[in-house]
Amino acid sequence: MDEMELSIAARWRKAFDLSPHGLAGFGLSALIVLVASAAAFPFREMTEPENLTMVYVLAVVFVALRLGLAPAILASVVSVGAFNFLFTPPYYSFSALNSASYITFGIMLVASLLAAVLTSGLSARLAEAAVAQNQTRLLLDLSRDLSRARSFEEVEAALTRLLEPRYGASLRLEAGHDLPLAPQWTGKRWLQPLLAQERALAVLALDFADVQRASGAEQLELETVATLAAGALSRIIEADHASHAVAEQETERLRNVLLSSLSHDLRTPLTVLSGTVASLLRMRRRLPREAVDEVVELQQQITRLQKFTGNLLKMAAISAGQLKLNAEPYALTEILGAALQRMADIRERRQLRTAISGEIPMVVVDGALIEQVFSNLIENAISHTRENGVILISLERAAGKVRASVSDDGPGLSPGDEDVVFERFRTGTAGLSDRKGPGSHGLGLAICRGIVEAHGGRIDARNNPDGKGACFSFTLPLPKEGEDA
Amino acid sequence: MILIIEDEVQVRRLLRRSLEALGHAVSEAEDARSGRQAILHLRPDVILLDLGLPDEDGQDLIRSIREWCEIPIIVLSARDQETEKVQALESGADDYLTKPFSPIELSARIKVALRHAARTGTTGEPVYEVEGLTVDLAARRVTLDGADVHLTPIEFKLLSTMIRHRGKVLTHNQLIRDVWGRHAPDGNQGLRIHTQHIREKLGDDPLSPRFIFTEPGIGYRFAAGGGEA
Repeated sequence: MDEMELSIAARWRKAFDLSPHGLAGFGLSALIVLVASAAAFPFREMTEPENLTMVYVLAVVFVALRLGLAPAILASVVSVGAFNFLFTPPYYSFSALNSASYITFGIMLVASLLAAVLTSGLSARLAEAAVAQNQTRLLLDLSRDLSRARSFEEVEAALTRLLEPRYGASLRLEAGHDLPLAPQWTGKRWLQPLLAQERALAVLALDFADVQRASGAEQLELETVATLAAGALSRIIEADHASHAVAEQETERLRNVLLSSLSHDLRTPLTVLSGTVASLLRMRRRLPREAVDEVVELQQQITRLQKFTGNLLKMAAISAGQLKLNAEPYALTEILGAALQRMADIRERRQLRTAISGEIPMVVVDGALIEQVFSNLIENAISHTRENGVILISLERAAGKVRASVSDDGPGLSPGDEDVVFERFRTGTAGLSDRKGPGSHGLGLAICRGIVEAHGGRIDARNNPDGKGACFSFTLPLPKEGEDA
Repeated sequence: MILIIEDEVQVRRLLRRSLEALGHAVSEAEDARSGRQAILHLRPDVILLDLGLPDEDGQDLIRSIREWCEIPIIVLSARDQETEKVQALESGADDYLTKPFSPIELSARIKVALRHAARTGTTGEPVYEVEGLTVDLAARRVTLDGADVHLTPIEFKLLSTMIRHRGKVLTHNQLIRDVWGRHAPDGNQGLRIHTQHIREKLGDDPLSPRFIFTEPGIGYRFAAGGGEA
């Protein structure tokens, strides 16, 4: 476990250590040579000196194994000196009797240097292998923990658990905007971005006790860690999106079911009510006069209720953002024509006039919805005018769009009402409150705005320039060249 | 005899009252299964079908009825979704009524459906006459209040398709398929433009039409011609 306690940088620094502790290594290596000399000394007279060189090579190997290359080189040189001094005649002198001894010294030096280099290389590789194994272990543990992580916090916890003891730094995972895209120091803090598709998902921040230099190996390791964590994070983000989408679909399905069953449950009794009242009215001749008046009043209220129910359901659909446009090319005149046809019953006692200026190009719209905009605006105008009031509907072409306006000769809008009339459940304060017709429940105009804006158009209200009555107008964008039909 | 296939008992009762007041014999079925049996045994002249039946999707029922008989189907839809009506029409329904409907609307739709039913099986009339407009299919001649109207071949084909089905709504797709076949070069846009040209030549103002009525989101309906029954 000592590998866990030493950082990789410390491990690398140890190999080339020239600190007082490192210098002790050189002293120690000299001491080991001295011990080897003492061990060999009793055998000086029993055997040929060449046989004793092995004791020194053994010492050098030991030094190389335990203390590293530099002390081992020193040990080699000291060994040759000691061997010469102690074991070759003449004793206690650095000179030699015959030239064969010099060959022995040479071979001994080469052999012990070779042993030193090979041994220290071996031990360095062993150390490297330990580091690599340790790193592989770390990355394995990390990827296992990350694959189990289901949230940002769990990713952070996995990183903290494995990296804090390894680096001796406190770790935080930070998300947000303007994250750095390259690893960097800020003060005593190392920032390692977690990148996915060249975007930083989060930043791994390591707070060290003091400023350090990260070695290449450490940087590489942190980069690998960051890649693993980024993979885990983007998987979590995607899963999050997917479950959101599923939830949204489910909500929309529920909303649809709710709306259509509401629609059915509200409309069926209304249909039966209005049908029953209609058949009652067919036998009006057999009913007392007062009863006929009551039935007529009943019929008016049912019509109101039907209108209101229709608007409420349409508004619910618009608010739920589920207005699906079934867009097709139309001449606006035919849609207006259809709206006027359908209003034949209620337009009585108002004068409806139309003004078409020039050629009106085709628009690509949802015909049924735009018909409803016309109907609602005309109904609104009817409810704000007196008998024989004039309602003028005009169509004209403007730059890149078509404008439709419905203006009346009623009391007009109070100052400040221009914007609020399109809000839900608002009616113009200057409305003829005692003459409210079926359209004056404050939803009709909000529906108009919802529909027009869904088509990319705009709707506004103002008073006529001559100060008589209000004018509601909306625009619809014309299809761009080449994309019509 | 008119068969009502509808699950809501109150709506069935209302329809029965309204239809009997108009002098029709009425029979009722409360779901698709009993509706099928009633069609087999009673051979009604017109079927009034609610799209929201409990035991089967209304669209499927229309398609399956159309596989073996041509009895006119008028769809009752509680929902104001145009796509549903278009789908029903293209599945083989002849017309639709949106709840709430007025008794006048109901009787007008029934009248048109009965007239079409009566004509099925005969070789078809060579000459149609509606509100001063005569279309002679064999002679390819169109006159309006006695004066000749010159139409292009496509316009003639479009007008004769509409007038053959007069009083009945035809969806955009049905018209395009009938006039241009499978490969319509400019689809909807072409249909709109040719319809506009016919309207101009017939002096038909789209703001208060005499012949061609736009049903936004659905299609066109040619005037039924009130005189006939």
